[in-house]
Amino acid sequence: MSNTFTLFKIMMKQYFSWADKDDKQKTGILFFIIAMIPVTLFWFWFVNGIVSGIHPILAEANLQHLIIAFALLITGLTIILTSIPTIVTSFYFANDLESYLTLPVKAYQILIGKTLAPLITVYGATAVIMVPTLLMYGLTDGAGSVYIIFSLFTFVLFPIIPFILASILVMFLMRFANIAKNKDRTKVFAGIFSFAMVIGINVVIRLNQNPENMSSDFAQWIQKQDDLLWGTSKFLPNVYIATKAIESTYWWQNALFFILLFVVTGLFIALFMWIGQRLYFQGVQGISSGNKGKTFTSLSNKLYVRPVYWSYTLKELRTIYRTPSFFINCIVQNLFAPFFILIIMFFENNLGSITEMVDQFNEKYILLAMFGISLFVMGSNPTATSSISREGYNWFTNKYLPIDPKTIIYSKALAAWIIDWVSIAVLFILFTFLLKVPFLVIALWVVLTALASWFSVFMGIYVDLNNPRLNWSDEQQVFKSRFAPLLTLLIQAFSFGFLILATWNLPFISGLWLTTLTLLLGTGIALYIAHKIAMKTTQKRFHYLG
Amino acid sequence: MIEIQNVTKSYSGSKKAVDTLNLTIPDGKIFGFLGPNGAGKSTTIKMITGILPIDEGTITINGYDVTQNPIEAKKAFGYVPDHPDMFLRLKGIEYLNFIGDIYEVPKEVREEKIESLTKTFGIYEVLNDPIQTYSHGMRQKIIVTGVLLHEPDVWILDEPLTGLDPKSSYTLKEMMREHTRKGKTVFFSTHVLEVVEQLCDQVAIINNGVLEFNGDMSDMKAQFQTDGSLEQIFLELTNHE
Repeated sequence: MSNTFTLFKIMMKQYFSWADKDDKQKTGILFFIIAMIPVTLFWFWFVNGIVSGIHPILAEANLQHLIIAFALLITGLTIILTSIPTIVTSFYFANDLESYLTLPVKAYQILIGKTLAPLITVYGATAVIMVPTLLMYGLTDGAGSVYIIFSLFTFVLFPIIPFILASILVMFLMRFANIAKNKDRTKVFAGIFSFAMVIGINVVIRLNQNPENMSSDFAQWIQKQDDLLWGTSKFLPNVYIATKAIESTYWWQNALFFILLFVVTGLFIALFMWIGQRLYFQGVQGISSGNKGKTFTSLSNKLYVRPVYWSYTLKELRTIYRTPSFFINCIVQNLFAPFFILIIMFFENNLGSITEMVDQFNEKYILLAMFGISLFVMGSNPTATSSISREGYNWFTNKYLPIDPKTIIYSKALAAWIIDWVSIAVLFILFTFLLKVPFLVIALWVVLTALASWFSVFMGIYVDLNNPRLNWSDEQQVFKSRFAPLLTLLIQAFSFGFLILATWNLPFISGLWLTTLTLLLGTGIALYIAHKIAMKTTQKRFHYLG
Repeated sequence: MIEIQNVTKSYSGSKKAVDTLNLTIPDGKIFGFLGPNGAGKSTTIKMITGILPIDEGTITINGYDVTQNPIEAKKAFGYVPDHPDMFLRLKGIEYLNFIGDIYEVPKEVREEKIESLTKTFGIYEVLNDPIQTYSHGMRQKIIVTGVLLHEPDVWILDEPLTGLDPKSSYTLKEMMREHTRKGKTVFFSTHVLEVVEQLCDQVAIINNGVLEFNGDMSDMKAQFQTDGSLEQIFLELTNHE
């Protein structure tokens, strides 16, 4: 038994270790916690608005406990959805997994150890929804000590079953659906899934912006849907029992339902361990060996002779495309930025008015606005600002291969520029087909953006050359808590903000062609400077990095 | 030929990792470079290959100064680093094409060399797989193939035999001999003293950044007046000062 606890202790230390965080990151986390205080207060206010709005309406029909049931249901579903990526990482892709496999311990021991850390984060998510709901409900309902005690007990037990359901789902997928065969692809899916979640949450928040309106609508809906809600809660078997454990007429009812919840949770834990013992090891073994492609048969059609700069650019693009965190950060995120703009426009019901504006507005201002948006989207793309950092320990290969440092930097710039076109293409679709911007404006915008993109790329490389992060052990560290992308965005905002503002306000710059010419001139000068300083820094720092 | 003249290197200005090193690695010889851990071997190799800037002194490869004419100097050598975990996201064939492009190897030569080398090393069938899926030995083999692909005059190999199976190890040693027979240079570092005794025409031993010995095996035995093994001499030079 004692070695089980030692195992758990080590696993927790590994998961929550601060060893790889430098002082900057630690200060960042501290600032984050401080910044979260007003957000938390706002959240309590928001939940209070909903609970106190719904409670009196439901209380008329003596259905107020449905508030708790609904909050539990939402919590359960949130746990299932949000914990899947954490479970996949902790169970299957953690770097320390191989070292545990060789230890003389049983599968379920490793499994429980690997469960503890993500389960703790699940309690965090549960607290976000349940603590304000239970608190505000208790205050509105004038609940007593029985309510408080059983709320606490239920809070501890409730998240276990949704978490186990998510874990079992993951184990089945990894064992039978062969996702595990391609570790990288699974990571990409998990990343895209998280982005989709963010967008989904954004949409939901935008739909429910007014808590008071929402609560009365919701209360009416819930009164009509009483049976349906209980029906829905069947998806999560413990919602009904947990609600009853928190809110019953007599204390002994609370106690009985709590004991029932305890027993059901115990049964689920037993089921989890039984399935884990059978599925986990088969799923996890061999996962680190990677996937093998088809046997190589013909050499002649795989040989290509290319110029050095293009060969290097292809190497960069392939590395980005095939490394999950590079792909997520440089390409997928790049796609999502324009999508976000679209969603904001769509849900604010502004799309129609913007299209009208495009019709009435002077083409000069349309072009300037489009140029500004594309600069923001390109500036937030981390491909250029991670050009050097992405190499990590392997930076030394650039120093012994007989390639001119300038060629290397140009190739890296070209790769980042090509990736910029992914978001330019999405913006193109947005401007052309949704906002119906005139063709000539689109054409001029494409020319301007293509040029400004080079500025953005050289500026990003310049910033990364000056302060690259090369000593990472996990690819994700290339992007985490670095100021390089923000700095590039600020430089860009400052230089082009000035240009755009000046062009916007100066009365003698009128008409589409003169505006384009001004922007071309401004962008050209900015590009010349960015290129010059990037190359100068290359000459000065290239051989001293790493 | 590699010529190292009065080369000094120190990290963060403190202790000298390499101190006024003078060494000539002649053509037509397999040159073994030995020393305990932290002696300055890797620092020296990194300066020769241009990975580390030189503080003082000069290094030339086939007459090209690595600082003044880096591209020409780098084209003259092929380098196998001490651990081969590089370009892991590329497939084997993509890596070899990349190297072929950098060293401007014509397509026909590429085809013939890649086929013969990878078949000899037993990695032909996995050329379409990402290098990440290769074992340590296979990664070593793909890097060695990359070096041999462009036929450099000077081979610089840092622990090249680590992780290779006996057959590939034998093949590489034979290739090293063949290369020097053509009047070319092989400079390699290793900790396996048996390999040095068996293979090297000339040996240099470095300790604490200072060259302790440079010569062939008979010079060594004469200088230390012993018939003992290289292992005994090495231990005497580096441990029992």
